[in-house]
Amino acid sequence: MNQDDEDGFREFVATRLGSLRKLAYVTCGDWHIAEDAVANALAKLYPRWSRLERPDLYVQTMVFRAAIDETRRPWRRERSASDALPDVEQADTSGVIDERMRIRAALLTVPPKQRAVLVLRYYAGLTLEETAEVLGAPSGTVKSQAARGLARLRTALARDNINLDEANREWTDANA
Amino acid sequence: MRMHDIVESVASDEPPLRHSIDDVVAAGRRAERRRRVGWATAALTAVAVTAAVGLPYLVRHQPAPGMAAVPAAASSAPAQTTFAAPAPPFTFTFTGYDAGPLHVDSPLVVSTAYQIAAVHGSGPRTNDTRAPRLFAYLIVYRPGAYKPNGTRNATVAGRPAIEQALPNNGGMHHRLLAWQYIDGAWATLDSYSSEAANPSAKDLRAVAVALKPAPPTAARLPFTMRYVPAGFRPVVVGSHVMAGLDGIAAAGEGDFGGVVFARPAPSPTGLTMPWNETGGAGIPGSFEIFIVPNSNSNQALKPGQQPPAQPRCGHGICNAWSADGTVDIQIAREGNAISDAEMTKVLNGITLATVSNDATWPDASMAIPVGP
Repeated sequence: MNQDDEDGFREFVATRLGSLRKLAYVTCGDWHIAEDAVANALAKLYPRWSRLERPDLYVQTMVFRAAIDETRRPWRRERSASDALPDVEQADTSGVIDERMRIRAALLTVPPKQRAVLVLRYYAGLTLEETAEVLGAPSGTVKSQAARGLARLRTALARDNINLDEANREWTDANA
Repeated sequence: MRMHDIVESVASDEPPLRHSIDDVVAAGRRAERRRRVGWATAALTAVAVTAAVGLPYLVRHQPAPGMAAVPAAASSAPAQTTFAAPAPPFTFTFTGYDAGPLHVDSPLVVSTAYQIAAVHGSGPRTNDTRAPRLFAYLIVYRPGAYKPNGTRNATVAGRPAIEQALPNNGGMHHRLLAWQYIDGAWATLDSYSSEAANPSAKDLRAVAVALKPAPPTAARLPFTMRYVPAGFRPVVVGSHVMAGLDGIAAAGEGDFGGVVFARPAPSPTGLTMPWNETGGAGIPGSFEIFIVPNSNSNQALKPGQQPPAQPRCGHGICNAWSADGTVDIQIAREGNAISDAEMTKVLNGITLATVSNDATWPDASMAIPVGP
């Protein structure tokens, strides 16, 4: 990698490291795992930097695959509680837990792949096709996962009287 | 509440980052299979005069055990009609050719299991940064080295083949053609293109059909080495490029060469891709030597900066430069394959040939004191 490329790579890391970690965290629920996934993905990006048309998509693909792989493992069994999201079963109904904790618990009721679709489509702003590419799934699958994920999150939030004000973009786009 | 608010809320208690930008770049450099470098110790005072004394030394040198010397192919040699199987270690058994809109370069990387050549179109060159972009390479595996993976859905010259259009990778369209080019031996052609239809499956098949053998030619290296840690064996050689697929990706950038050593050497059978392209990690238990111009180095000396007097090691990499600072020699380890002290010892045993004149370069069998 020449100096110009390395400068470009450094700038990319500087601007994306934090946001990528946040996206990975929302997918896997563990800051430690999330950061490892992002750091590993960026390291793998480095030698490919100059030949990728969309390094952002490449690294998001790597991050989400790593994060989703982690969610297949027993939930944070080996991690410290301070790093982890609380399990849904631990949700406190006594009123002590604030809204943020209830939102976390609601988000955790959404399966990891559906959660990844929601984050990529509605938070990161990727198109349907880009989301499909990142997740390595057909567009039709992404559409159905988005619909199911939104419905599940809406239901979970409604239990705490929180309204999800997010239209199904796949449906609205298709009918625009 | 919108999805954006939900994510921001859930992630609002994020802890400080554990990795700095420098940490990520250092890890990336290791993943890059560490290009470049050398060093300007007293040992490389000898390097500086190698241009004058290197060749006679090489002429006296005998091939390493297990590495038969291979004569360079003469232009008057009769046409090779069959692939030499098995060819001697670290020899090239085909040369560059044209096929339809694509051109195959002569192979520059050779391992104990395969040879790799860059492929490019008449317009976009491999690893070009202009649009349309094409990154393509041909791998010719030794008999038994490649394990076909997928439905045999095509034929090439009457032999079984596998054609696949794979998921995009970073916005690049990936095609793969694998075919049996002789009994028990397969070759593969991968193309990553910014255009879905260019090259086409037909274009790839044309490359496959046109693959022909050439008299075996030894891979040459721009250095000789006197010390290899016990148990390590050479497994991949890059001539004029870094060893491995990264070398092919950077072909044409003016790198000089490289070698990967491993302990134990990986099995040269049952492969579906080159060893060091399995997700960024290198061969377990390996280390790699890179010989590159300082200007290509990822740890280049800055203008006016003098080479350090002692080898510089850190993050699993040891670097040194020729006395004039123009050539970098770098050794990088995978994991904890060898210590900094051992890498230093390897570096101290390296003598550069005249890097600007590959006629002075020794065959791999003479450059490396141990065989595969």
